[in-house]
Amino acid sequence: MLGTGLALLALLLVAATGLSLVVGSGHVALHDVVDGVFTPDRSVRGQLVIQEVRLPRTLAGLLAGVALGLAGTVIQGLTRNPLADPGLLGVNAGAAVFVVFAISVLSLTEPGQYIWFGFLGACLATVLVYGIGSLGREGATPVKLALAGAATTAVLSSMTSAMLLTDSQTFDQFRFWQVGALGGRDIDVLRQALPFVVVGGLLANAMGPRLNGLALGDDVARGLGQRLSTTRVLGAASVVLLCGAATAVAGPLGFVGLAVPHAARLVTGPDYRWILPYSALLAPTLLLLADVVGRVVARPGELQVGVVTAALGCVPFILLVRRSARAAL
Amino acid sequence: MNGLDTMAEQPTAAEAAARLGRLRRHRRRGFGAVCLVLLLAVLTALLVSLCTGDIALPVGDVWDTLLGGGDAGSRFVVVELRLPRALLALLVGFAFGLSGAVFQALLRNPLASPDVIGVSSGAAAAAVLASMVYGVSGIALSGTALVGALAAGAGVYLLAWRRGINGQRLVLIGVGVGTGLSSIVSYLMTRSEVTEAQSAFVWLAGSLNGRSWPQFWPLFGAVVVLAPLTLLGSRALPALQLGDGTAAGLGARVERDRLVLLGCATALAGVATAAAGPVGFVAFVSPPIARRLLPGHGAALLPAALTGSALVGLADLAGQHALPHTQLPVGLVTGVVGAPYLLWLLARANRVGQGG
Amino acid sequence: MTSSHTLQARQLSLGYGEREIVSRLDLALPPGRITVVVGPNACGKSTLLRALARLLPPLAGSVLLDGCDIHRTPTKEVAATLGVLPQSPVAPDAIVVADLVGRGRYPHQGWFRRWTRADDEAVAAAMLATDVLDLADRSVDELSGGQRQRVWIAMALAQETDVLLLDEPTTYLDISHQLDVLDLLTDLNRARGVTLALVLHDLNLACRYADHLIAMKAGRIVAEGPPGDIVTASLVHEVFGLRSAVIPDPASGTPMVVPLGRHHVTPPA
Repeated sequence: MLGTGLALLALLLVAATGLSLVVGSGHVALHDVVDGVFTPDRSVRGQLVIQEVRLPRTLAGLLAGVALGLAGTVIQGLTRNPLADPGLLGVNAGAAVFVVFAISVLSLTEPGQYIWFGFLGACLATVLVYGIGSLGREGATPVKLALAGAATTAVLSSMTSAMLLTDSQTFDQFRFWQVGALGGRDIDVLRQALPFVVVGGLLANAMGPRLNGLALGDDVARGLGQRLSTTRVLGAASVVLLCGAATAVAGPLGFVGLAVPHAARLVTGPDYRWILPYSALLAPTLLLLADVVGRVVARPGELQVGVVTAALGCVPFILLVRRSARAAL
Repeated sequence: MNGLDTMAEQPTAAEAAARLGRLRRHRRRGFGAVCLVLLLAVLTALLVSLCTGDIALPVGDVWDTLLGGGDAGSRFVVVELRLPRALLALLVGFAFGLSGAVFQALLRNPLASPDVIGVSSGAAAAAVLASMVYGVSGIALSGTALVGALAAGAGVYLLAWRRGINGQRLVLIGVGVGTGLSSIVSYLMTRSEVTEAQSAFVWLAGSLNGRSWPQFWPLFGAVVVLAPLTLLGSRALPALQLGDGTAAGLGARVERDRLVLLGCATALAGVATAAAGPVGFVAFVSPPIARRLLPGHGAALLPAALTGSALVGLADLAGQHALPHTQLPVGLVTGVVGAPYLLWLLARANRVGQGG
Repeated sequence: MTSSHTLQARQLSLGYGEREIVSRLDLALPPGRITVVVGPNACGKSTLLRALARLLPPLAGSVLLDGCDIHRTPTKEVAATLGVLPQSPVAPDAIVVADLVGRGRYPHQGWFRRWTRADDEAVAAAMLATDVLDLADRSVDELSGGQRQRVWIAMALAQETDVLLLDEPTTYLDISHQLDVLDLLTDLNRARGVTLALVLHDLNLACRYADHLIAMKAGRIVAEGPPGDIVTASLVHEVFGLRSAVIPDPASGTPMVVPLGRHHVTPPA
């Protein structure tokens, strides 16, 4: 039955993808959409729009969505904390610091240039958080990881704010990156991000049984033969790869990674082997639908996807939490 | 007790009671000592704030001025400029520290703090909306922030109510509401002029710039009412911390006692945010610092409040004077100062093996 | 010095959400006596205990403490008379044993009442009785399961109530400590007339220590009375689905249930 649900979700994702390609501020005929994706003729205006604008953003939504859905599930399983979002390990804060540094000090202005600094920052921040959280006899327990992550995020955010307060041009660029959007991404960026998402995604999906063991408590997990340190390192690595790539593609979109696993869990129950694929499909569906809404509502401009997912997403999230009898992991 | 292994005499009831009494007094002395040290840190921060600045004043002059003497110049600098700001910093830290300690004790989650359950986001959204769309500023802006904080807190509580309050549900709904409100803020930041967005950003970073007596007195009044109320309400915490079942068994009015505490903690965070913007990180980081300074003392509300005071006091001092020609907002510095200290405590405790 | 407090359930129906677990149950705890409730898993014994302790509001019917509806009596007043130790209680992080036991004094402390000598003595007596005095300044997280259980029992004892309800108080304890706890509860009953209601999973200890035994199955009381009167092989089979032989306990004379499984049973000659 869960398998049927997954198939339905996949269909929903395909529909959302289609919608994302079809809807937009200009009208594009259906056959142009199809041609634009597969056999583009750049002289036809409609197909150009598809190639240059809608396809990249649809692909960005797919990539970022899959990445965030998986990363959010893994981080919640690793920390056994329902408040955990992928940014908890400092990923978003690390990315922000390096992005601001790149924009203000190195004067990079193209997103394609500075997002990889963001990725580097995300990795370094996670290493720092994980390192500090692992000190001591018990290794990186959920509480220590959460605290170390939140503290590191605060330090890095402060550094980011400090740089922004003194440089209004950088601030002007940053406030748009910061809100999270799917537009303005070059196909090249997506192509570069793809391998990270693929590797991270495979890693995350393989973690299903380990996360199930971890959910029963450290002792039970060890008793079932798990090497906890391996699980944590693999988990952190997958989160960094996925979340770093997602932030590079779409900017910091924290809420998706937090809310989607909860929603998935309501359907699948606590088995991570199902929560992971459900999250991986649900997140991009929601992201693409939010992006479509953002484009429709604010024609001819757009309401960035980061705003829409948070503003609209929190309502069903709250309803879901209210409905569930046990709002716990 | 079942015989073969105990060689020592069993103590009598009176001896046992005396031993427990000694243990209790020892712990109380430890508590008092830590509070005293924190108070000293707070007073030191205050004194140094009064002496430092573009016009450096020796301690003696400051003391004279506070007592009513001194010339007009130092009176202006000390009493009009520095004193209100320094006192405000201490009060803001006190309120946030106390609020955070209550939230973390009640919700039993180390990530809990007023920021996380939507209170700070409510204040921020209300303030940014008011200032950008309606051009509100000054005291009215503070008032708007307070209303936003209380409305968000009340909203989260009501949404989480379902035949009672479950801590996990409250926190999750708080995160949901907070995220929704933050998205409004982010959106407004992208739709406004750069200069407007930047001044909103400064407010959001948490700042005490330009704060003086008009901002101090309302906060003082509020804290004077709320802090004792909170400490009184915390008499129920020892029972509430044991879980709803055990607490009810001990005769705690679980829902009522919890509501009182949450209400006070939300109001404290609200008034503090109204005065200085969302310096919420203080609420997050002070309780764990206090708990690690006083292990085994449970929620440690007063130490957490004093830690918050010391933190914000020192942070504002550093923010004003650390970099030449720049005033860093206090919210920034608390992050840079407070977080590494927490990390160090975490690392040190971990190495010794006390766990997280 | 017999306790004169009565605790009864009248036509009590209990459940969680839509599921009804106990239907229209009548029960009166004999005052000043030790009552033990036994039954298979999920028969409703913990649910019943929670309802008697007013932790679970009934779907129908009422719980009466001294003739008054327990849900209409102020909860602190109830807590001064009735103490409860739930199953799997939750302790906050980094709490010291003496602190946790001390929290049992909560119902006796008003808004402004300071900690008094009487409180110290109650806590000390409770800790001595459960043999945890030496652990007074240790952190509860560091203790073994058995030690922690004894600390929780000490907290319930420190409440100094005339009626005490304990849900599986012997679960994590080794056999010698199980007997210690049950002997200590018996002392409490004999010396101070405390009315006790326990849920136990060990049928033989239940038969030995109970003045009044209640056997439950599927939310109903199957039989109740002195163990000697009601415990027979057919009752054990009806309640637990277990084949057994019931013989007099050589130490106490109370019924002892000898379980008959598929292995290690010598066929009768």
